[in-house]
This record gives sequence, structure tokens and C-alpha cells, in this order.
Amino acid sequence: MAENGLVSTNITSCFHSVSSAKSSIFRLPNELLCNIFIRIDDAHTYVNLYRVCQRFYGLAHDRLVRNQFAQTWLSSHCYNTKNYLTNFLDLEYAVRHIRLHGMAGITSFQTDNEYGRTSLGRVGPDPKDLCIKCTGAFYVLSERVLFWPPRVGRQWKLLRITRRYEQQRLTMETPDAGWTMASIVGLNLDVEDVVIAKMIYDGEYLLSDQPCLGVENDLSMCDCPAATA
Amino acid sequence: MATPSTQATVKLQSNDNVVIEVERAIAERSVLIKNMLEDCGEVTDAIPISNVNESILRKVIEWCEHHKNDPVAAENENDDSRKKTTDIDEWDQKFMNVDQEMLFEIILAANFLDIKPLLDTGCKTVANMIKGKSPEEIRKLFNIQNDFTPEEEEQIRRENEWAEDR
Repeated sequence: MAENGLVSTNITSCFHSVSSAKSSIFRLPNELLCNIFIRIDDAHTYVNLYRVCQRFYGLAHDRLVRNQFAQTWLSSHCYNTKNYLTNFLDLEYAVRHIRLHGMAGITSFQTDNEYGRTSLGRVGPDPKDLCIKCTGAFYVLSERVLFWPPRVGRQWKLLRITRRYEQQRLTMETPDAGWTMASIVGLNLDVEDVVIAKMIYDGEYLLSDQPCLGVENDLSMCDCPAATA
Repeated sequence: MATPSTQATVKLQSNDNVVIEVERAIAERSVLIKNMLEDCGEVTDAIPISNVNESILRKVIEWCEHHKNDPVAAENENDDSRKKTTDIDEWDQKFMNVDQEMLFEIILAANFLDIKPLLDTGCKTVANMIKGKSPEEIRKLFNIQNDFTPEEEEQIRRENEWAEDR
């Protein structure tokens, strides 16, 4: 779809355009510019690179560079023990899980009216998994827990990402066996996965409404499965 | 100070023909020079560093001097491990607090001389400058001209609405 829009076609010819010669950052070769881009550590800023100029767009929008950005982000955020998602594999697993459901086309954004809580399709909780004290939905994943507290901004963010995954699905060839965890593991993570990972990872934001876990992950504060997992 | 078998210092010549003598251990922070010395054995002539001028070369040597006792990363070390942190230590932050022109020259020199930790620090520094900025602010920061047509700009903006931080 718009992935390969009108801009990408004339990127190569613009790499050394006269208009950008003035800036000293353009003395750096593509390889070094990419090296900088993948370290930006913030998905929103990364996406802003697309809109700076043709050369930045051509480099930052490249699929391999996006994959590298996602990988760098994930590996640079996996050793923070403050979070209950303490290791890289869990975080990456969670993100791949969410992407899988997006790619499989079964992710839908729902609001559970009875509980007034939101969930991300099947990734969301069964009602029995809802914690009264937390007032947040959670989902137990390989003995760890993801939280989806009720928050409007957050709902919209999830909705946009979900749509994005579904939009991507349209542009990608579905494997013969359909989207499975095996086929999704082979798929490199992208910038939108960083947005999701950031939401999962950012404990303070995740737990910002009425947290059942303290900011420092005090499991003793609640007796829901998050605390006993 | 020097052991009899290896030379204690090497001479480096910048592209504006200034010769600087440095401790061999310091010069060997550069993988390019290290390999060169290993391949050639004794090198008494000045080694031409053809892409780097005197002021940048002195700056790079200053960095190598400060970091001469850092453990050298294992050759087969995973690339991810050196990208792990976005933090830059205080001395390096001060070291990198130069004008953009010089910062990019240091990055180019680190790349040419194959000094990975310095290259990483330089790239992280620039990445941190970019972080949190809007497209317009990034253009301003680096004096980049917007070479998109309004239609292109609008299209890219629409394509990336999903990422907006709201």
C-alpha cells in the first residue's frame, strides 16, 4: 500500500542533492547516518526522521534499517531489572505475540463494557483475569503479566497500532500455513513493534492509573496473578 | 618503560603534514593502526593518516589516551552489546561537546581509524541530539533544507499517523 509510496522512487537520486550539501551532517556516508538513526532510542523521533528530507526518508524508511532500529531498541532495554518484564526474550516474545495476532487479522480492539476495561483482542484478558484492586486488565504470558490499564490515550494508541498491523498484513504475503508463531519469529520486528514494546515496558505508564504494582514492582501490594506469577 | 622487543611510540602524520608521536598502546586503540603495526613489525617512519587533519587527529588521540586502559572488546563480540546503553560517561560527554562540524569529523575519523567505542560514542551523541525533536527541529538543528513537495510531506505524515504520541 502506501508503504512504497511516491517518495521512495526518487530517493537514490537525491542522496547527494545540492540542496542538502550545505548541512555538515551530510558529510557522513549513509552507513554512518544509519548508525546514528538506529540509536535514537525513541520510536516517535525515529518516525519523525522520515519527514526531515528525502535522504533521511530514504535511509530511515529502509526496511533493514527499521529492523535494526527495533532490534537495537529491544536489546538496549532488556536489562532493566526495575520492570517485571526483566528480560529481552520476554519483551520480544510479547511483542511478537501481539504482532502475530495483528498479522493473523484477529486482533481487534475491544472494550469490555461489563468491566469497563479494554483489551487487545485475544491478547486481552478473560474476565476472570481482571484484578479488582488493579482495575487494569492483564494477561498472563509465559508466567509474566502484561497490564492494560483503562486509559483513553492508551486505547487510541493500541487501536492505531492494531490497524497498522492489519494494514501491513495486506501488503505481506501470507505464509501457506497462515501466520503462526513460527512464521512470525522469522519476521524482523519493526518500528511499530517498538511503540508496542515501549508501552509494555514502560511500567510507570502502564501502571499509572491505579496500580496494583508499585512503581518499583512491589509484588506484595496485590494478590492477583501478577503478584503470584 | 618500553620492552626491548616492541617500540614504545609511533609517529602519526595528519593530512596537513603534522607528525604527532604517541605511545604505541594509545595508537593501537585504532584497529587500523594496530593491524598495520602487526603486519609491518617495526615502523619508524610516520604513518600517514590521510583522511584526518591535525586538530581532529589530536582530538582522537586525546580520547585514546583517556581510554587507553579500557578493556578491548573481544573481536567476535556481539554487535548488540556495544549498542546496549544510550548513556555516555561524563568525560566522553564533555569530550563530545564540540561544534557539529568537529563532531562529524571525529565520527568520520573514528570510522576510518576503526576505533569502534569512539564511533559508538559519537553516533550516540548525535542520536541524543536528535531524540525528542520534531522534523522541523531536526532540520533546524542540522541546517537541512526541506526538499519535499507539500504533497509528499502530507503523504508521509498521513502514512505515519499511527506513531503519533497522543
